[in-house]
Amino acid sequence: MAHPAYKIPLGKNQGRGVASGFWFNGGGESAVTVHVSEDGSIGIASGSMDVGGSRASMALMAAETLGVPYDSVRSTVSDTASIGYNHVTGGSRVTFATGMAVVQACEK
Amino acid sequence: MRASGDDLGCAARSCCLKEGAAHLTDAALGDKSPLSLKDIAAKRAVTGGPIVAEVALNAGGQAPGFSTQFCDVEVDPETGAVKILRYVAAQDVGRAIHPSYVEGQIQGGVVQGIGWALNETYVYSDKGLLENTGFLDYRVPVASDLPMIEALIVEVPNPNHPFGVKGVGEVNIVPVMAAVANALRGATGVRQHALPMSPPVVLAALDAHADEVVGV
Repeated sequence: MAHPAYKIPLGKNQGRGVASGFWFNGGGESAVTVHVSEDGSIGIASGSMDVGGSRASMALMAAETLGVPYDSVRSTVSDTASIGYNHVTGGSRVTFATGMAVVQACEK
Repeated sequence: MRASGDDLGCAARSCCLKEGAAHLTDAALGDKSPLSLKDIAAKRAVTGGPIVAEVALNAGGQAPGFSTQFCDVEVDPETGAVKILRYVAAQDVGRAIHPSYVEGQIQGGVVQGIGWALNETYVYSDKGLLENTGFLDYRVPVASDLPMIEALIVEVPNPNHPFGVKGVGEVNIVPVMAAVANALRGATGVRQHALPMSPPVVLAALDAHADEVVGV
């Protein structure tokens, strides 16, 4: 425990506790469509709702895979009628599974 | 690749996409300057239509997440109220694509865990009706209850993902209850055995162990 806060002295009625934990995470189905517009900008449409900033993460992964500036990538969330099936946003899975789909689409 | 091949006048297998532009890989075809994705896209109406790819997959190979945390608490011996003074959470996130969002996920999970540890429970009447149905009585932690939660990002990439991503949103809730309980044990000398460790519960435990308690 090399963190400086671990060394702060404690006063009366104060205590310090340490704990560790793990969690299996989710995989599951994801579908995305990636297209390149005529002005060179990239559009990503995925079906996973954005609760933690996943649209930005999809854009970052696509920009790095394709070698284009981050600003030229637009990331949107579509509904299930427009795009393939996406499993729920939960289980810590969106950046993992939907991101994987984005990178595979970019590699195509 | 087919599109860049058409523009450069050669087979698709002789091109590769590097740094956002198509380069010729076969030196025998001569030396042409790389064609950027933007230039290829601009000509697509003529060379063959829109550039689109679609992928639908069932992702496997997700890796578990690990989190280690410590916290300092202060207990008010007269009311049993517990105040979190400092909180540090370190987590293995695989690869943080957007680091400040990942820190937000870690902080959010810790807050959920603190709520579970200290306050959140359903209170039922003896007729089985839920009594605390609103957020005033089902008390979740708010910003004024908490210190700044320091989030430390540790990156051990997941080999099964192109960017090494692991799920980050849930594992940080797991150790919180144990860390808070351990800190409470340090502060009061009394080990709690049930959640939540709300003021009435802590006070009752302090009173029951009044002769053994240290630091009060």
